[in-house]
Amino acid sequence: MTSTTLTEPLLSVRGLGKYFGASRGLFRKTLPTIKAVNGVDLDVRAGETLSLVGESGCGKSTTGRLIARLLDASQGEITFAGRDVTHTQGAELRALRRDIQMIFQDPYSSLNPRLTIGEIIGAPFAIQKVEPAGGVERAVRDLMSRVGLNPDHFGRYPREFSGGQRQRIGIARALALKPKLVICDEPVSALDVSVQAQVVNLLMDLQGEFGLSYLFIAHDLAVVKHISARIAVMYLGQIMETAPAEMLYSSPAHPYTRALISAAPIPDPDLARERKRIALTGDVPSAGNPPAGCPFHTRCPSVQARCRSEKPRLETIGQERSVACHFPEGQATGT
Amino acid sequence: MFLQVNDLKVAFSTEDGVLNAVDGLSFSLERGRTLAIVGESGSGKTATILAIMGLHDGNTRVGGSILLDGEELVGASAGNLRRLRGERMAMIFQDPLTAMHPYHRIGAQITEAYRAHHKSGAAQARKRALELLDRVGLSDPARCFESYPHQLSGGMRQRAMIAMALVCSPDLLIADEPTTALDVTIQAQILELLGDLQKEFNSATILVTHDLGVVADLADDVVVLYGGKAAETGSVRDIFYRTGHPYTHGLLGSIPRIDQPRHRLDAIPGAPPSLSNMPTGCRFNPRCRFTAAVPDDRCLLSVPSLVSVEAGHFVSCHLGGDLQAAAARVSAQSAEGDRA
Repeated sequence: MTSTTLTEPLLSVRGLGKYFGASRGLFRKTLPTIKAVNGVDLDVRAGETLSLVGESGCGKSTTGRLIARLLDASQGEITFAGRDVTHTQGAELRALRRDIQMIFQDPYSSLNPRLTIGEIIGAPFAIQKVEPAGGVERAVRDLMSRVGLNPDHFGRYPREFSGGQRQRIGIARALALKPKLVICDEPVSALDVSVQAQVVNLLMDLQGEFGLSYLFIAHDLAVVKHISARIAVMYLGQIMETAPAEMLYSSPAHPYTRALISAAPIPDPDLARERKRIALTGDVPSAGNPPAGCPFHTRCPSVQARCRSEKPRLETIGQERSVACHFPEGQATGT
Repeated sequence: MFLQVNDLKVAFSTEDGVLNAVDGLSFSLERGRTLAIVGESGSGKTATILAIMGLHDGNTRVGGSILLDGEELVGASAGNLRRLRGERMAMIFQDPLTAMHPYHRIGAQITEAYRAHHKSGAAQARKRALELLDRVGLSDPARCFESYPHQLSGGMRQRAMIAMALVCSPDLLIADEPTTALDVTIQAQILELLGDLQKEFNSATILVTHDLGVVADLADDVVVLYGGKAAETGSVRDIFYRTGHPYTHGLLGSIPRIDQPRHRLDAIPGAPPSLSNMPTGCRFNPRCRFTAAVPDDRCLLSVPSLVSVEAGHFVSCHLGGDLQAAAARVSAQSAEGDRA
């Protein structure tokens, strides 16, 4: 799936930051700034899936929304297809929205209950004033059959569909304008187990069919391993490690990645009970009051004095891996 | 037997008629063991545990029998059930933020549960609450005692709720998706805690979950529910290593695994049935890949009964648990179809 022929990635993010709660008013009290996203670097290559994993509050969804331009960045830059789109406005932003689409987590709250499925999937054409060849209805019916919905259900309402089918509706809507990049924010976590696999398979099939790039945001490491070419692990608004999927799971370099992988459940009683877990103590620190030095040092099993004072930079190790750790596992320590 | 559920039926009266959420479910549980009830939305898992806890409202009819240490719970008086809840059985909910009262301090909520069942002064109840907050691994029990639920993190709240459930030392602990709302690293901590507490208190635990990873980790025995009926029951090894029901088989095939290389997921087609629209015959038949291996359309026409396929392992399927033979028959049939 990885395309190495392109020298330039489709999406490139450098030093991206989003700060909430900073007051600008003259008489307002200064509130602590929450750095939800704090200096994120990542690249998505054409046709590949980059997954962004992390625990709740790590800033992965905010990063997705910044890239989709649903939120404005406080810092850093977003380059899409060679153009700086960080602060694009007006007609240019509208054009950008054709290329970057989003699939949301909750298939119940992300569809307007008063619109028919045909209207929901056809809305992007109306908003962008695009007249597809053969008309909107034909295009919508075609999209419906591509995502595994019965095109004859064109006039039905969202409530008549199950969770998995609603997620298919959301996918069809996202694909209507033939985007280049689709940001999938936890697209299967609200679905029943037996339905999750259908949607994962569908997303992988559509990627091949439409030549899509995915930024896949999720917390489930097994799903992420299954769908990604590369994975970025986030913690407290920062990227801890980026590596190709197989490499990340077989030889995780960051202690946080190691702990995450060792805590992921395995549906096999003998393996689940035999294996050793790296038990992390405590909780994720508040983003309003992050620890000094390495953000992970308060929970890191191999913390050293330097980690408490000096923040590690995201350094490239070898060809494909970047790690933000002073003492990465199995690597020559490079500073 | 400590807990014996026999032919449990739970029916809701609604405007659309009577919906059978649980339809003839039987299982049993000994002290010191963990039973996992696995199911998807609409499988009847929540209706089952609410029936055990006696928490269904007036619009719900509960039939059959639930014996807790010999005492019948179906039809028991409200006062009796109130006494049993807390003292003999307690529940851990999925989301502690909605299960706890937002305006009361954690300590007040725990001591209230204790004093409802014990003649005890405030000081003694406080001591007991602090003891348990410490036991569930909260690093600063005194501060936690004085906190409101929103002041704690998700993992700490779940620990506090476990302390609340354990304050009267119940013999039956029901955990409803106890780790679903938590992050992976916190989930691992809570699972370990539940396992340790079970050994320490020798309680019987019912673990309600949709996550087969959690089941593999913690359960001794498993009931797989589908459409309000048991599809398969047995030991955790029976279920994972000698799977006998096509639905269990499909569930195991449809989850990606972190310990395996990438492959196309073997998804189950369709969606779980809704209560108002149950298929006739076997409730799984519209999604089953093995129906062709059963002669005379029996899957569509008759409801399979739960039969023993080996000691302690029961399967409700016309194939009688032998999925390998069935798979061979289905592929032979389709090969024949191709030739014809």
